[in-house]
Amino acid sequence: MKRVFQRPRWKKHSSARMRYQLARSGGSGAVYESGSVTPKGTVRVVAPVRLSLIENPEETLEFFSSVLKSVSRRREVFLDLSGIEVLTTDAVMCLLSAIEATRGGGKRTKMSGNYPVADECNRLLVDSGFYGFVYTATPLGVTVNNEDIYAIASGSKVDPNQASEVKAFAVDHLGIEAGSSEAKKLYTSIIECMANTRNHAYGDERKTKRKWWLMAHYRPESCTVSFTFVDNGLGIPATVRRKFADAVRTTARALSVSPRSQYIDADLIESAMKGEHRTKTRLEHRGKGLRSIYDGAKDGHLLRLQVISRHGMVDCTEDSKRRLSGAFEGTLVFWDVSGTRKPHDE
Amino acid sequence: MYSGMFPERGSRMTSDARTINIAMEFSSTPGARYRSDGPYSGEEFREAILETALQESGPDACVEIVLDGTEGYATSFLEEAFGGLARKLGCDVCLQRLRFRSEEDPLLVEEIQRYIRGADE
Repeated sequence: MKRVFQRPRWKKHSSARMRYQLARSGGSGAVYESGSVTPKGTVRVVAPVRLSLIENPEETLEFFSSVLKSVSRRREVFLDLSGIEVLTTDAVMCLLSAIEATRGGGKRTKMSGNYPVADECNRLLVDSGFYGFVYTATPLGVTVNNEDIYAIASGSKVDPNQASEVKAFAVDHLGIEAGSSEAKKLYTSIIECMANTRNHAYGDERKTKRKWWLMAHYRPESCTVSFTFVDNGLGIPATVRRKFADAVRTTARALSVSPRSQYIDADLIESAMKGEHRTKTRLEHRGKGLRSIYDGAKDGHLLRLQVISRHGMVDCTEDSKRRLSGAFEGTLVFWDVSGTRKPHDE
Repeated sequence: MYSGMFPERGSRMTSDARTINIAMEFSSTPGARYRSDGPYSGEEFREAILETALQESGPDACVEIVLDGTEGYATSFLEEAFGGLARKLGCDVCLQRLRFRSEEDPLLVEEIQRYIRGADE
């Protein structure tokens, strides 16, 4: 049997040419891509300057789509977050959702990353409790001390106690009465989102753990609390029942020149939110949860309600919808509630 | 304020009628539809509290349900608890035997009655 140093592979890698190449790259034996500390074979995905699904959906979706593509190919991913200048809560939770994707399918895919240079963005990551969900060399942000943020909560079932806590957070900050119908609507909306994830978001998919993430953020300057709810399910357009008219619409859109206009996802989301009997169970008494949230936006309980899922983005308060070229793998529900307390009146 | 339906002719709304205060006897944080969804579901409430109360109070007696004092109700909880009961016992029996009281949100009573009537459709 040949010894290791007698084999052709050893000889090739110890050749003068290889040693020269190593010397040029500042080589110490380990091979790194130039200009970065990313190990070779790791895909480096650079986050856009504005990482926000609500404010900058196209670029943000492209970023997440690159991450998930690499994860699905079992490639190690390095998230380059250093250049972010604007970061919103929805993007933080989508990051967690993407990280969760690396844990699916029985085999883990390694994902690492760096911190945003912008202090405000890094502070949001720390205060949101993001680092509590990921491994860090030095423990960061496990102790959350920002009173204006309800740190990210996560679960797989309907959690009434969690919903109650988030409601209490909003009621305290907004100065609304805990027993008022406005406050009750808040609780109801959170339960509806959790129930929707539990019963509909994953369809018949059994591989992925049915998980949701919830976060609330108080903005004293406008006296509003923003709620963000994310799940990494199949998305509303993939789980609702399609009607004959949808098939006609899809065919008509397929003839369109612009690829983006082919998607009818925004129409499906809007229809599901309006409660137009889209439940796959086909039972008349089911599928009322999204309608309940939508009604909250329509009767003025919610200041803003936006839903993003697959290729669709719907603003229920402004009755506008948008087709997205990238797909969001899951569902994001974002809503604002305003309070009676005057700004900075603590 | 009493926001339920008036007792119909033939039903007994006596002073010793059973009263269920959801916040006190079940939970102040009601959940979603099924037990598998999580704690304090509509299914759990119907099976553990509502059906038992109806059985204990006799075949024609009314049961009063106090809806106040909770954090709020998801549509799936209400539909499964009361609509689910109507699917089991029939819409007329439920409307005849259940009385609802809500001072905090009187519209809830209408919503529940809609679910009960919808169970027959």
